[in-house]
Amino acid sequence: MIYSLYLFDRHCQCVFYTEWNRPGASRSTSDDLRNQYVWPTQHGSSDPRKDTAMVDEAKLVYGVIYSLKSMVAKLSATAGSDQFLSYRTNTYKLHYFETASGLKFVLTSDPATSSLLEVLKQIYLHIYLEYVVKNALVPADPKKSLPIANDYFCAVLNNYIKGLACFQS
Amino acid sequence: MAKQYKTLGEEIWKNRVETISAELFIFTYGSLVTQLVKDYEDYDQVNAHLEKMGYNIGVRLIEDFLARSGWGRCTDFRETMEVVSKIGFKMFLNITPTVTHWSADSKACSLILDENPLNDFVELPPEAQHKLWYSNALCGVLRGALEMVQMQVEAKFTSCVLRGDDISEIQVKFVRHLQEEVPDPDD
Repeated sequence: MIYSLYLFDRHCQCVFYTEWNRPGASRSTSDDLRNQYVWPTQHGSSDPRKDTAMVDEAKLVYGVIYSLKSMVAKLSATAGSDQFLSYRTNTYKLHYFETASGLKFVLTSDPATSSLLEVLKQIYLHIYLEYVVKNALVPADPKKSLPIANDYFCAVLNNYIKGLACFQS
Repeated sequence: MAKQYKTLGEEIWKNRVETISAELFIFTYGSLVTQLVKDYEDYDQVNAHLEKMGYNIGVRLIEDFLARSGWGRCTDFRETMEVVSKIGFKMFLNITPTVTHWSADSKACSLILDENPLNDFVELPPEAQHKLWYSNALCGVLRGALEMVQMQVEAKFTSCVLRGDDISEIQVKFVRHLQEEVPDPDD
């Protein structure tokens, strides 16, 4: 079961978040794409309270990743080559993939799911690259963080995740 | 080691690259430069603008490079330049410039472009021969792409066959490692 996806850019900002079967989420679980919760949006979402909560949550998630990364590097015998791939609690598992350019993909799932590293790489190669990097309409300023507000990206990502064998099971 | 980059570069070129017509690419670049020359009427500004355009290309191109090559982080600048030449240039232009003229401290080197597809069919008018760096966008691409992997470099052409020189040479100088950004401590 896949819960949610966070995407952080090189400036430590969450530029994209969406969720699927996240436990405790109160939103409807209809298949309608328009009801898919996506954050941050450019025009503000219908639920401002949820937005503030998301800001804090994104910072927390980034903080965890950042600290784990430093700890892994500290304990590592070979400097600079270790990266953590996932961690697991009794209720969820967090999968992590970072590119050399500093993009960070974070996916949460139920604890029984096996490694989703390949899934994250596929999202980078076939979805992020095609619909964000190669999309000339997406403004690219390497000095600033820009939220990904791209329906095509969301739609393709949604299809891909929903098509995974581990999505519902 | 060097051989391994070469094999990977060739493998990517063969299997993981969509090609477009070389002529289309060359003429598009050519008309772009011509238009800039017309607009600016000053070759220094054209050079600067080409570099800037290259930079903007580079910051996106690096993602394509990393995703398709699956390459991680390089250990030092020497390795980086080998990868740039054997995999990067191979992947996007199907050429492998020679990396040479290393400085004693391994912080500067030259890329010799034995062939440069951008130059095909090009002849510079006499008044541009000593001013225009026709392929200056390449320097910008190098700077933009490497900046995204935390390396600040300076790249500039020092000679170009279109100006009547024997070889085309880009000098690349390593400036510093950029620190990865850390989250705001206030948060």
